[in-house]
Amino acid sequence: MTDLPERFRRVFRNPWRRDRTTRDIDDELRFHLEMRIKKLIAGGLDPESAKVEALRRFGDMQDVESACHNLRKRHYKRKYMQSVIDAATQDIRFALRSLHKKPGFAAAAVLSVAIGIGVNVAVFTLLYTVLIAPLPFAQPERLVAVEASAPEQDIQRMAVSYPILLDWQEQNRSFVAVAGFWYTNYTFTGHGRPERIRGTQVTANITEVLGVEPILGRTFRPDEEGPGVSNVVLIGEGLWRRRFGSDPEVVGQVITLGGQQFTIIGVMPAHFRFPEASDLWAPFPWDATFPRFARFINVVGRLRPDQSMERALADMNILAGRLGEEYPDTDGGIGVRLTGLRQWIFGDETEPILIFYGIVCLVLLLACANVANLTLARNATRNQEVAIRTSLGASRGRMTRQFFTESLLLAVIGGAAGIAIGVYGRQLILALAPVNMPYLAFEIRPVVVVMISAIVIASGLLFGLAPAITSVRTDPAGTLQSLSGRLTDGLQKASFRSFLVTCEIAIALAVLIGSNLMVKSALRQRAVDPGFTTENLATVFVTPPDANYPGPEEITDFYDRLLATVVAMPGITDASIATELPKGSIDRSIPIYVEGTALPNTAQFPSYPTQNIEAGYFATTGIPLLRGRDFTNRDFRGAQPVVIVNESFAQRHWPDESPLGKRLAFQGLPESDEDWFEVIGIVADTYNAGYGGPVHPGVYLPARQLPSWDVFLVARTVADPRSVMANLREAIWSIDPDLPLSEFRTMEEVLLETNWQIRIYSWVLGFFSVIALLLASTGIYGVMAYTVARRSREFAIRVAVGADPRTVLAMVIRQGGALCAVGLLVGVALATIGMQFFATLLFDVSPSDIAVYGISLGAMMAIGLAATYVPARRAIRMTPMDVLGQE
Amino acid sequence: MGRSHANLLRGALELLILKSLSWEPRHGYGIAEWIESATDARLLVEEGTLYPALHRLESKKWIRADWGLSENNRHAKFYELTSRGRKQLDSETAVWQEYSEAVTKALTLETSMPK
Repeated sequence: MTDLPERFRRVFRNPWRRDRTTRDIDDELRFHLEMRIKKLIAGGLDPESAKVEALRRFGDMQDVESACHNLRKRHYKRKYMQSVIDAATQDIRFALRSLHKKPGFAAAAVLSVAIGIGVNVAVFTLLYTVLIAPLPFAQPERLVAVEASAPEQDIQRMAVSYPILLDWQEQNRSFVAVAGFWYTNYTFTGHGRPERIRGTQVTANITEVLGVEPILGRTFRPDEEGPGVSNVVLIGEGLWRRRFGSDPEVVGQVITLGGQQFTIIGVMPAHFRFPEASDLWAPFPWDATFPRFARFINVVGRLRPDQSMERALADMNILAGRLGEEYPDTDGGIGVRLTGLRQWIFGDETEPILIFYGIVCLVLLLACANVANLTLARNATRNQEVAIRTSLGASRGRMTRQFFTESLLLAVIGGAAGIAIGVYGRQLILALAPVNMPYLAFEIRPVVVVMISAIVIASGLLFGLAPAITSVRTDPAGTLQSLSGRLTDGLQKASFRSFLVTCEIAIALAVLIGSNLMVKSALRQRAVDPGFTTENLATVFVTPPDANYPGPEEITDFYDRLLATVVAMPGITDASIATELPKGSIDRSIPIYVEGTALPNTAQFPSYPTQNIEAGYFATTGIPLLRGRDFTNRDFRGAQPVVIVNESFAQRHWPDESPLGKRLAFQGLPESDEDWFEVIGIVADTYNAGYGGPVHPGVYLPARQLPSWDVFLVARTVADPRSVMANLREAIWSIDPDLPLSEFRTMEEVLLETNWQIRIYSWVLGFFSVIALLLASTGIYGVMAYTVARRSREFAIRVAVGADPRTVLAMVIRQGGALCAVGLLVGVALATIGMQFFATLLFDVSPSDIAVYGISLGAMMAIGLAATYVPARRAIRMTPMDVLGQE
Repeated sequence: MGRSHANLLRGALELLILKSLSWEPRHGYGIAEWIESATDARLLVEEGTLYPALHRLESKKWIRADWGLSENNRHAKFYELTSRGRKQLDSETAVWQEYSEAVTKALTLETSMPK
């Protein structure tokens, strides 16, 4: 269809207005024919037959003409492409040359862009992984975390027990399959040094539900789940590489885990570390007779293709209701809660990352504004160049292109440097975050590269647009006439630049306020009294394999030997054992019944954070014992069961009487008197539900009566705990050289790791705010230096005719101050709005903290004035001779 | 003289154009004249086919075109050999010679199995 007008043109060809190509071809062919006819006539033919003969010898005229035409067209197209490439090369070369002439400007601009894009790369990668990247499972959008909930008790999410999981698997109608898992650590012995491995016990169908294939061997068969039927494991690619040297014959090998023999049946791919950095998977060794009240299993299901989340939830709630009627003691009042798997994994991390990304985009905007500003300032001195080139025939389009080429070049160079910064920054984020962020394979992917390239180009256009427009709009005649137009021009440009600077100050102030709020949070958090003595405490995680320590007697005997050995060490005064460190949160909660209170069903016994400890734990950690006594060696198995409660527990249940001698029951109603635990002591509260948060009522159980195999050793040292770590390790291994030891840390390190979130935020935001301040201050400086340079003649004359230099100084500073003031106002508004999203990240600091706002404002103002003062000083130092000398 | 013939000779025609320009720039008609006399009018049967060939060669940058005045003061398009074209002429000539000798030898054989 498109060639229709072309055909019309050919049919109604106006001989005087043919296009050049057609004319050339026609002329050439006509010339040929005429020459041939002439020759034929000279050879004796009459003109008429000469014409016929010439045409005959020429062949098909139409054919030749169209062939020539097509060839020409192709030729021109190629030539045009070539000219575009040539022009671009020329532009780039010119741009490089002009950047090279102003290395200071180029460096400042590239650095601005590099930082803006660098932080973008780092944070966008994080954002991509958490929010966008598909989970490494088949059709991950159909995977759902299934949890129990107890609305009547205000418990939103709960794990389930093995029998409940079995019922869900058999009776649900919404899922293709439902799988369960729970974190178990394994002690790996045999091949070299003993090692603690993060493992997971799973239902046999876990790989089927997640849709993952092994890279070697096979996955579990349904009949491999259950008590005593099999000892098979799947291992992760990491473990396979680390401990087996990627041996392709690993399938079928027998390994020792916790003293038991397991046969490796397959190797899972590197990206499969479900649920969280897991390196080993073994099937559940239980059956339906497993206690129904023991809730610890997490559940993931794959929705049927035709099933929606809402319908699945309704269906599961019906099922839960039915189970509640069938097992009122354990399942009564229990509902179901469904969460998309991504949300379940990353839920808590999404919001801070989005906030961060918002801030990062602000920083990038700031960088763009800054480069635009720098470019405008530089172009002001290029007016003459533009004027001359325009009057020499460079088109406006050409000049605009030239400016854009320069901006894009800056963006590309800056972007390349930025990506390097980003890659490094990414590692920095990982290094600063000591916890295992699940699934953060965290690589720079093609999507990220595309996204970043788009950002680079967009930012190049963004900061190139204004300079390109304003510079080309310059009137060449006027500029050349006034030679440099000192007093008159540039008003419009100056106001645009003032606008940019205002934006810069506003953004910088908002970022500064954000980071100061975060820093204040971090300081507040540090200042919180943890409720015990954190200094001079060494901790280590000890995991005696139950093969070597099969029963309670062996393990308590081990406690005795361990504590005796450690306390005997020089430099150690006290030592004890606990299932958890007093790090601010206690993960394990169990249902407790307090004697004398109303009797609900088992499922509704309230749960309290619990930990098992050895005698001397309070003395070692410095948690004050308020009343009663500590556990002792005499609180052994078979003796009267005893328990120590924290102050909150005592307050909650016996506000008006002595808790000593009161009795508690764990996990169901006691059948006999021996099952009651008697309260023998009350200790001060320590944080057990988040650092600095509310303290929940909690209880301490004697490890000697309820032994645990995975425990922390806590030792109080005389000097720096770091100095005894090596000796501590040797001393423990002198008892049992096969004992897996891990997590040698001081208590202070433990607390730092616990409070990493606020710390990392304050670091990262502090970093951003420094960048923002730098960018904004160069922006102010640039504008003021530019103004002063423009008006230097005026200032010099004023001073020369007797104006007080201080008046001139004040005038310049006033101008800069006004610029700052507007920016600061906008910045405060911006911060007030932005900080609303921020409140959840803060610790004990109001998002509108007056002191923070004041300090930030003051700092920003001081920086603004300093950036104004330097060029202002220069203004009054100039004499008329200096100014004239410049021209 | 069919189309297949013309196709077969395209390479030869381009080679001849280059050759004709190896002495001096010529216009299209001049090239045709040269080829006519050099080949005893046996090769360039349809003179028109010359022109697409010229455009092709120009696209390949083996020849360069420019408008000028002919010997009888007419406005005419002159073609000139570029240095690239000259190199091409040398190498193609060698190839052509080898090729045509081989073909000629094969076609003039009298026995079925040469020794």
